[in-house]
Amino acid sequence: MLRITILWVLCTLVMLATVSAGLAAAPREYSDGVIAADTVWEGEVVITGPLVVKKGATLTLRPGTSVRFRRVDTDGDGIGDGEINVEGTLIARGTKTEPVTFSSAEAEPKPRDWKYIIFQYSRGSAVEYCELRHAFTGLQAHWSDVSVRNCLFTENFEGMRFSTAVIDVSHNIFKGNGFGIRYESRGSKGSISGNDITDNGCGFFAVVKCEGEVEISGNNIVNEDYNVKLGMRQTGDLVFSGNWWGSSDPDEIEYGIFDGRVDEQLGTVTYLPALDGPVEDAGIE
Amino acid sequence: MARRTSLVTSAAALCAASLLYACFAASVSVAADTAGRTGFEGRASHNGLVLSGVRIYAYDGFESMRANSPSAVSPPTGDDGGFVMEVPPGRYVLVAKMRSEGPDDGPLAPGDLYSFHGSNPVSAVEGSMAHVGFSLVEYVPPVYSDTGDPSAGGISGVVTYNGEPLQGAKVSIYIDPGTELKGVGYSFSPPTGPSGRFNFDFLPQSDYYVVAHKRLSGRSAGPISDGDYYGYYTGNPLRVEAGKSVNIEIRTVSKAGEIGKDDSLFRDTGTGVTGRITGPDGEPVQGVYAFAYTDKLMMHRRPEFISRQTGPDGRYVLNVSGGGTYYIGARSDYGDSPSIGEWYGKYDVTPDHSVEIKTGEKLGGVDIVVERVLLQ
Repeated sequence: MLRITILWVLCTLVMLATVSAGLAAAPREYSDGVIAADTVWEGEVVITGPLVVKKGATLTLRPGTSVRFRRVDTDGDGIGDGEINVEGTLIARGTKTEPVTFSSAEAEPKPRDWKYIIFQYSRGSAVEYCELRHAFTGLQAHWSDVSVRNCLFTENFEGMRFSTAVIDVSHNIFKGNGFGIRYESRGSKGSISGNDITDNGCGFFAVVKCEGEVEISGNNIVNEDYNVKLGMRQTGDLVFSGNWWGSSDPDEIEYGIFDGRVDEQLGTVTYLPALDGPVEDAGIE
Repeated sequence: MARRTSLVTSAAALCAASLLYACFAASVSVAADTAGRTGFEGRASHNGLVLSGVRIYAYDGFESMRANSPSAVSPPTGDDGGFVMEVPPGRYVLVAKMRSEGPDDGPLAPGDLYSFHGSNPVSAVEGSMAHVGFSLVEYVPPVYSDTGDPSAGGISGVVTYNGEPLQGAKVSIYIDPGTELKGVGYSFSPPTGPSGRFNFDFLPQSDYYVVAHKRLSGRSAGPISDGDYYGYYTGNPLRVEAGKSVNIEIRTVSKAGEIGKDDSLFRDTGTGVTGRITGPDGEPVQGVYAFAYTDKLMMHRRPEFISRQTGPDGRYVLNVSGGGTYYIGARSDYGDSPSIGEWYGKYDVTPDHSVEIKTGEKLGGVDIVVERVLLQ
């Protein structure tokens, strides 16, 4: 009798342990989700469709959090519908050894599997030690103030996009994207410095109204097609002094810039004084 | 109990009768405004905002227009940009002007505002007030330069929309205004490229009417439809002299696109939302517009519908064209991307800022909180 009791207790304990382990492993799921109160994520999160962080709410992601987006394209635009729309605040802070990751949930992930993390009229957000992959745009910031530091943007159509924003974009890696950073400054302030913006199709795409107060210096900007490309309506001159272009030769530097030197309707990029070697401590600190 | 019931019934009947009378009186009053009248009514705007002080000039033909000799002139448009002008039945060339030199008709000066109605000439039908809208643009004088070729002249320039080059526009030039500026004309350009530029060389010395179109259908001819772009050069007719090239800017407007899909946007359609716009401190905000998009993205283009600017109480009425889902917000400017310091906010009760409106419904209590964009 005692033996049977002991066996029964042991079996129960094993079952409980198994169930607990199973519960702990189940990811948190959102489908057309809304976060209207302060919320903390850790572990695995799977998102289907848009998720909005309402104004007044803060979503915090702990180090090691993995956020994956299912590819669902209900509007048929060729871009997955998954997104995090931050109207409140997002604090996504990983560490160098335990980054927060945003990626596709598909078995064969590819760019545009999900849309973006988009900040609209958001205040005080920070995205640090994160990895963003397989998006249309890894991160977009509009009419918001956002700090983006020590992140990896790779395998996206665009790494980052911003307009009318207060930004600190420093010590990130933008690598293997269609565009590294696309922007319309429209009064933006802040800086883009200490970044490795390399091996993208185009490093910077300055669409229109890009004159302004965002300082872009101290970066390594070495890309496949263009390092800086001006949109057809960007008629004002832009300043990209103090960056490394993969070469000190003015001809080679200018070869990688599409501006008024190529199409006289466009503004001219000032790249001098240029750095005479790569920024050694650019990228993730 | 019987006496109380009788009184209640009588009071209800009296209220119902009063309401019916009020509705009838109102409808009669509205009908009396336009019943039996012949002419035109509508609204004038500039850069998407209604404009007061504009006068509409009706000419019996292009020659009268050229001679600044109108058959009728409207009173100046009111605060809502609206006007009413009675004319005898007939066809008229309608032009809206705001001249620095005053209300008398005459040539334009730099900075004056002008609009040539894209459907000119327009018919005034007996017993009917035709609705016409005008989106005025600034007059930009032509600039002449020598070509070195004394045998011919040229026209060159740029087609723009909202200050930006307009790609895909076709520019036509007419010598004979009897064509009513329709059809192929004397010559036409290929569609403009990203620079919006066009050019006509080897033109004989003459006066030309220069017009630009961009039809979203891609067709080269036909009436201008909603969303198409139209530009009548404000300095028409344009003089081309032998040995000289003249450079101009043709500023286009979007038909029914400058202020939502219906340029009588403040007209009570019976369907819409009402509410109050406040700041983060709960106090009403004056001088802001409520707006409605039909696209949940609420970006990259102007909203389809806007309200009048709020008064001191922050209240607004936003009319839409019919029932459906609308995405609601408010801001202090109408046009380009919101700028730093501007008031901006979205209806926050629903996650996607939407409301569902039934046709014939005025949904109340759609209150919006606005904040200053990016100001600390």
